Parts: sequence; structure tokens; C-alpha cells
Amino acid sequence: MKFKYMIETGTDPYHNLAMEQELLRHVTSSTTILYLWQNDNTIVVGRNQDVYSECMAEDFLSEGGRIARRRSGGGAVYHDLGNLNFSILCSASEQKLCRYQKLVIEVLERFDIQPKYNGRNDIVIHGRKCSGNAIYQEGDVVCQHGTLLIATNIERMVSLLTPDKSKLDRNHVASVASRVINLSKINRAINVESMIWSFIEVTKACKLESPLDLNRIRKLIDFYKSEAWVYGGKQ
Amino acid sequence: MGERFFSKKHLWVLQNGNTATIGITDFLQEKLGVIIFLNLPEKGEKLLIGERFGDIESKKTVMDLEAPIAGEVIEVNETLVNEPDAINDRPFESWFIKVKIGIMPNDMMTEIDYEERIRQLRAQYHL
Repeated sequence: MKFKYMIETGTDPYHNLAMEQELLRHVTSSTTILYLWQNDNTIVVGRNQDVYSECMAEDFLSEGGRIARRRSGGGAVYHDLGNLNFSILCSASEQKLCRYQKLVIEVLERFDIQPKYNGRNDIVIHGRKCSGNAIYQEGDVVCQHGTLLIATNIERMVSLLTPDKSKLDRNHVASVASRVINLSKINRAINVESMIWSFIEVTKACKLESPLDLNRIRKLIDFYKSEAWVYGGKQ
Repeated sequence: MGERFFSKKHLWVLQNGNTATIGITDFLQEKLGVIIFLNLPEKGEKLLIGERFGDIESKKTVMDLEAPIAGEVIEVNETLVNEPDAINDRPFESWFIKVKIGIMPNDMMTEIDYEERIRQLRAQYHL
């Protein structure tokens, strides 16, 4: 089984989720795809969450933020350019060989840090979360994707995702911030670019050269942007 | 009382005349873990064999449900949508949808064939 990678240069969440879904079609039992991407100023909710329960949607949108819904489950996340997303797209039969827990830990260990998987979809360092993860499966193809906090604005993240608590309790932001950590604070060699290269080196991935179905991607972008999906979760 | 058939994707189909009742097997609920959300089609929607008709979210994953037969949805189990963890406790009693059958594919497994398939999967993947 070999890895092929794609590095995304755009930061539009609807395009990036569409591209991730399109890349599922390029997975075979001998090819696993590694997709590395970023969203700017975006809140992404899980498959079955209610947008309005997770954030002050109207305020965030009026500031220029974007809200997206992903196909995997779990909780709401905030993405800025200090966060790197990774997607490991593999055949269900090969999932044991490319579990995100093992792969991400190997990627981080290259920076002389000792991360651990906490058994609840998180990767932590000294008990502080640096990566959240989720999985969805379409037919025989599995998407394991997650975030890596590299240099995210943590205060902004906490106040966007828990606005009521953040306003009422001035210790709340500090309290949540103490349970997460930006990787660049642990090792100054860590930035988005060096993290991308660590992924490529650990997986020994070659660049994905297959042609993409641009028409299909355009239709997927429309789907991911649609109000019915973002606010209603309707497929 | 009808006959129960099984798809390769671990859905069961209980056929009674030209109506089918559909759910997931014990093997699949065990693989998924605790189920927390269930998304199902609406009454009147058409099912196409192999196409996605809904999805399940468990603590581990979200998985698409692939239609084992073709037909039209005539009833949806809304009670189950509100209490999806019942699927883990009683998978063969937790029906998802009832369908007016359009096509029953001829490669569905009987209960004996399906149990043999599960036995082989468990041996192959050490499950």
C-alpha cells in the first residue's frame, strides 16, 4: 500500500471539503491518499450538530467568517491559518495500516515531542489537546481527518465556540486554553510548512497526479455551500 | 411472517409480499459502537440499489447506509431516529424504513449464508 499526497493551496472550506470528497474516488486497495489543507476564519460543525447551538452564527458571518458542515461526526471546530487539516483516505480493508492515531503520532515525534492518543479522538501532549479527529465511511472507502493546532488564535477559537460562557466568565477562556496547546509553542521548528513535510516524509508519499473531475467538484462545492446542508444537515 | 435476507453491507431486509422492512445487523452495530444519530430518507423517496439512503453516526464514525434493494419508502421509524441507541441493544427489532419493493436483487444472502460470511470475516480480520 502506498501513499499519494495532495497539498491544497486555497483556504475556502466548501472547496476543500468538496476536494476531500472527490479524492475518495482515487483511493484503491493499494493507494491511500493524504490530503493536507487549511481553512481561513471558518467554523466547521459535525454531521449532526445544530449550527446555532455551537456558535453565534450571525455575528461570525457578518465579520466575514464562514460556516461549514462536514460529513464526519463530533464537535464544532474553528480553523484559521495557524491550523493544519489532514485527511487520510484509504480503503476500509487497509484502515489498520494507516490509522490516524499512529500516523499523526509518528509525524509529531519527528519534532522531538511525545504525543499520546487519549482514546477519545484526541491527540494530547502532557494532557493538552493538539489534534481532534473524526471519521466517515462511504462504501468501502474511509476518511480519517483531523486538525493540528500549530499557531491558532486560541482565545478567538474559545470565544467563538462558547460565546455565552466566554462573556459571562472571564476565567472560561483561560480555563479552556489551558487544556489545548499550539504545537509551535512546544518546538519552534514547527510551522505549517514543516508539518506538511513531516507528513510527506513519514508516509513516503508521492505527489498525486491523477486528473480530477472538475465538474463533480463544482457540484460538490454547491452541496457543501448549500443552506440545506450547512444549517439543516440535509443531503 | 416474511423471510429475512442480508446484504454484503450488513443490512437485513425482511420481505413480506411486496413490502420490505430494513435495518442493520448485530455485526454492524457491534462494529460501529454506540450509535448516537440516525439520518433516514423521507416517506416517498426512492431507493436505488447500492446508493446512499441515509447515515449513522456512532462515537467512532459516520457511515453511509447503502440501499440493499430498490423501491419507494412508505414508512420511516421516527421513534428510532429519536432513540438510536436502541439499535445497539436490539438490532433485529430496530427497523429503519419500510419500502414498497421495486427490485429485490438476486444476490442477497439467506440467514445461514450471512452467518457463514460473518464467521469468515471474523476469522480473516481477527474480529
